[in-house]
This record gives sequence, structure tokens and C-alpha cells, in this order.
Amino acid sequence: MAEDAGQMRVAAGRLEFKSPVLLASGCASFGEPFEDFFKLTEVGALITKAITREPRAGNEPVRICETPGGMLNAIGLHNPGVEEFATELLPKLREAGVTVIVNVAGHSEDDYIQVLRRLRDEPGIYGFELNLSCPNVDGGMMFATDPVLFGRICEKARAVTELWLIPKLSPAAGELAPYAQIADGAGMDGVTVSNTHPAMALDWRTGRSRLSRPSGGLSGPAVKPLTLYNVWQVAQTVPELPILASGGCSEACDVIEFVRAGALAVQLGTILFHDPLRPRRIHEELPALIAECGASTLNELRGRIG
Amino acid sequence: MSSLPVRNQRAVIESAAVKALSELTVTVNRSLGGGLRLLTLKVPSEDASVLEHVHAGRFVMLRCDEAEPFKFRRPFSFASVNAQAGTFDIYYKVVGDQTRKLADIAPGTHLSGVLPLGSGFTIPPPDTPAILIGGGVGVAPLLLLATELVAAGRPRPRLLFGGRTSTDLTLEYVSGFPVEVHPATDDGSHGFHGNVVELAALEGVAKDVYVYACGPVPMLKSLVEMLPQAVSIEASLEEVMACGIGACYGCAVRTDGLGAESMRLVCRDGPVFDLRQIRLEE
Repeated sequence: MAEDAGQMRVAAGRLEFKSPVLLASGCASFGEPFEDFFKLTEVGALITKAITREPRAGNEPVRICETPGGMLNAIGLHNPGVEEFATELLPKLREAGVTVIVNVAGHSEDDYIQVLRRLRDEPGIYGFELNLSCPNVDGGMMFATDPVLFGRICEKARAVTELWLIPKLSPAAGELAPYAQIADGAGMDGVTVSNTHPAMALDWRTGRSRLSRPSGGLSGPAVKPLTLYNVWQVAQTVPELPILASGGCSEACDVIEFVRAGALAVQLGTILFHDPLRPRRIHEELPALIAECGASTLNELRGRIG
Repeated sequence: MSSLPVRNQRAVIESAAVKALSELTVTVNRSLGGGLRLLTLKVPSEDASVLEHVHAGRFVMLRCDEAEPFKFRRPFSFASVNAQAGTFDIYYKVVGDQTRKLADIAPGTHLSGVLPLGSGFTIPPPDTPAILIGGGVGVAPLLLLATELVAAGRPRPRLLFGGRTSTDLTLEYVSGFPVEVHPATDDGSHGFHGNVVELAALEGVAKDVYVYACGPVPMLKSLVEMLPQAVSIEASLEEVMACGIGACYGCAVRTDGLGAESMRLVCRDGPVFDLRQIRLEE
């Protein structure tokens, strides 16, 4: 951690993190894979693997494959369900003092509402990231690509809980700024920009998908310029709405780029698979880079582009 | 059905010993013939305690090409460990771009690795016979298992070792381990003419035996069908992994469990599983 913790603290609206480095949903399980590598209390927040109303086994293998500068995944929301999360997994995170944001996924409005209702009074949860854009399950896209459904689920979620609500926008929706405007209007506390990009990988000999499904979601450094553009565009359109950047952040300098484009904080995803020590390294490197930018805190650099 | 839990507790107990080390020094990287190679890596002395937690069946995620930091690390079983020298050995086959890169790495080079990961094989109760069945490069974790069995005071186990042809068997290398090798080749160029499963059927496998296996999926599937009498069939499975630490959920295998339990992660819940609880897909 930085010697001066205030240098790393970021805050906007109702959101506040002691570090701009967050662990992205689906890339850190429930924190346990990283206990050997860094303290989960060092990062700004752990965003859990998507939680659904019922347990889900996820997709058949093959679920992942390498692509240039990134990877495709089609995991399919493999998770133990809300009840086991609440009774088995959350207590450990709560005792450890981890800032937990629960990623919530479902197939219907009712699925989301039931999960939020089950968890809203559980101590230790700071907020919810609404996973409205899982590209790897049938029908998983509808809330993220239909402005009316998107707005309605945001409003319904708001009526259930006062904890942070952060819908995760999907690149499949095209221009994301309109969705950010809707989220802002529905009283969301921020938006995550964005999710994996719908993508394919084929075996040229057989013509078969390299995943068990025809397509998956692209992540990793390959998508960083796309994320940067979307963050910038959303920040230009809805400057008061906090943005969590997600997609391609790998280095400390990437964190600064995303913050300069308008993000409040940055989620680390695929890079965690390549280097489980990376959050700690980014924490070590950031202070010098912030100083090099002529700032005393990262928060000062938000939205500052040349 | 065996009573072995799908998740091996050893992995859970020892998880605190996992380390990501950026300076594993290559001391040996030599051909054993037939595209098979031996890689010896030295652990920095300050991290040497990590080797105390290396057991047969556990694995290391190695970055094979430092110039390609966004390629997945590759999982490799431990074939042997030398705590005094601070080294461990990987027995690997050149099969794709990353193992080709690995084959080109000169001694003295540093590689980064995360280790030791996953569960190990369980040691059978005293006076219970063990038989090891390996196909090709899958013999690697069985060699360390044989070493551990003998260190635990058990007799040298029988190793049924199969390959397509004699060069797949690297018999000179395998002769350095405490195993009674029974070779089999598909083309009959060495030992039994046929595959290891046929050899197991021919030799007979006693009713109370513990079977340990590693090899291609068709071999493992046949084993389950051919050895209904074995007390236990533990196998080390292989699957594409992005992380090796239970974060990506990429390395799923289907089990006979229900609900979310019907999928297990090879890296976290294995790679050693009770083979009868796994539904193998080819």
C-alpha cells in the first residue's frame, strides 16, 4: 500500500474506495484464490463472482481459450447460489474486513430482486454490481441491450436496497452513454464500463469453435483501447456518474489512463490470471506515477486529459 | 463407489504455502528423445521451503515465454523434487507453441512459476498394494508418487507404462525411479504389443489394489471400465487453465454430483480426482 493512504483514496458521489484497484467479477472467485498473494483488504473492493438465485454449474468445458493479447471465456455463471454465498462465503469475507461488492446475475427481473432481497441486510456488503450483460448464457444480454428493460431493472433494484448499485454495461449495446444516462436517472451509484466483448475463436481445420459454445467474451489487454474509449465517452456524457473501468487494465500506468479518461476506479480482471501478485505491484508503483503526473492524489487526475 | 472425497483436503490445508516466484532458474533442459524433455528448475534459497509442499499430483504453473506475458501459464506435474538441492524436475513433451518455447530455453534463464498447486495423490493404507498406470508424458506425476511410496516404506510399485512407440517411453530416464516398469507400446516396438489398459487386463489387477493413473482421456475412460474391482482409481487430470489457482473457473470437469457440484475445477478441486466420480469427455 502507499505510505500515504490518502494519495490512493478515490471518491465520487456515494462511492468511496481506499484504493482505485478493484478485483473484477469473475476473475477473483470469492477472493480465496488470492489469499496467498496479497491481503484482500489492500484492494479497493472485491467484486464477487456472479451470484444467482439458484446454484449454477456453468457451461461444459472447453470454457476458455487464448487469443492475441487476451482470452475468450464462456464460463456461464458457475456459482454456488445466493444461499450458500450468504451462509458460507460472505461470513469469511466479512470477518476479514474485505470491501465486498456482490455481482448479481439472473434471467428475469424477479431473479435479481430475490437475490438483492436475500442479501441487502447481510452485514459486510457495500453494494451490488448488476450483471446485466453476461454474454455467455442464453438470454443473458437482454437487460443490457434494451434501454427500457435496462431502466426498469435499475429502478426496481433501487427500490429494494440503499446499498451501492452499479449496473455493468455491455459493449454489445453499442454506444454506452445512453445507458449511463438511464442509470443516472434511475439513481444508480455508478456504472461499470464494461463487460467482455462478444467474440469468437475457430479451429481453422475443423471449423469448430475453440469453446464449447459458438462464442465467448473477449477480455485482456486486447480490449483496453475499447474500454478507454467507452469510459471517456460515458464520462463526457454523464460527468457526475462514477465509472468503474473494466477491460484490459494490466499495469499501474493503465490505472492512470483510465482515471484520466474519467474512471473513478479500475477493475483488474484477466491480468489476475497471469500474475496473482499484480494488485500489490500496482499499489507499489502508482504513487511515483501519480507524482510524475504532477498530482498529489489520484483523484485529482480524474478526467484530466490533454 | 469409493469414499474418497472429490476435493482432496491436502490442497486446502497447504494453500498457505503457494507462492508466485519470478526467479526459478533453469539448471537443466535436455532432450530425452521422442520430443520428451527434462527441465530442472532451482528455487531461490529464500523460498526453498515451498518445496516441502510439493507432492505427487500437485503442479506448477510455468510461464514458458516471458516475451508473451498474456499467454496462459502452462500447468506441469512435478516428476521429482530434491529439497537439498532446492530443485524440482518437470518431464514434458513438446506439443504446442509454448512447450516449443520452453524447449529453447537455455540453462541460467529465469522463469516465473506459481507453485505448488492443487491436490496430490493419497497414499494407500499400509499393506495395500498400489499399481501405477501411465500413458506417455502422463507418467510424470507417477514417478514422484513411486518415490513417495517407497519413502513411506511401501514396496516398489508396478508401473504399467504405455506409449505409441518405444521412444515415448524414455526408459533410461524412468529407470532412475523406484518402479518395476512393465512397458507397452501400440506398435509393439518395446514390451507388450498393445495399450496399457490391455496390459492391465492381461496381467490382472488384484481386488484390493489402489490404482493411480495419468494419461490421455481415452486411456482413463477404458481404465474405469476395465477395473471395476479396484478399491480406488485416482487420476491426475489435465485441462486448459488460465490461472491454476481457482480464479478463472476455466478448467471445469463434469462430475456425478448435482447442481453446482456437477462441475469441479481441475486446478482447485483436483487435479487428482477419484476417476469414478468424473464424467470424462473426449
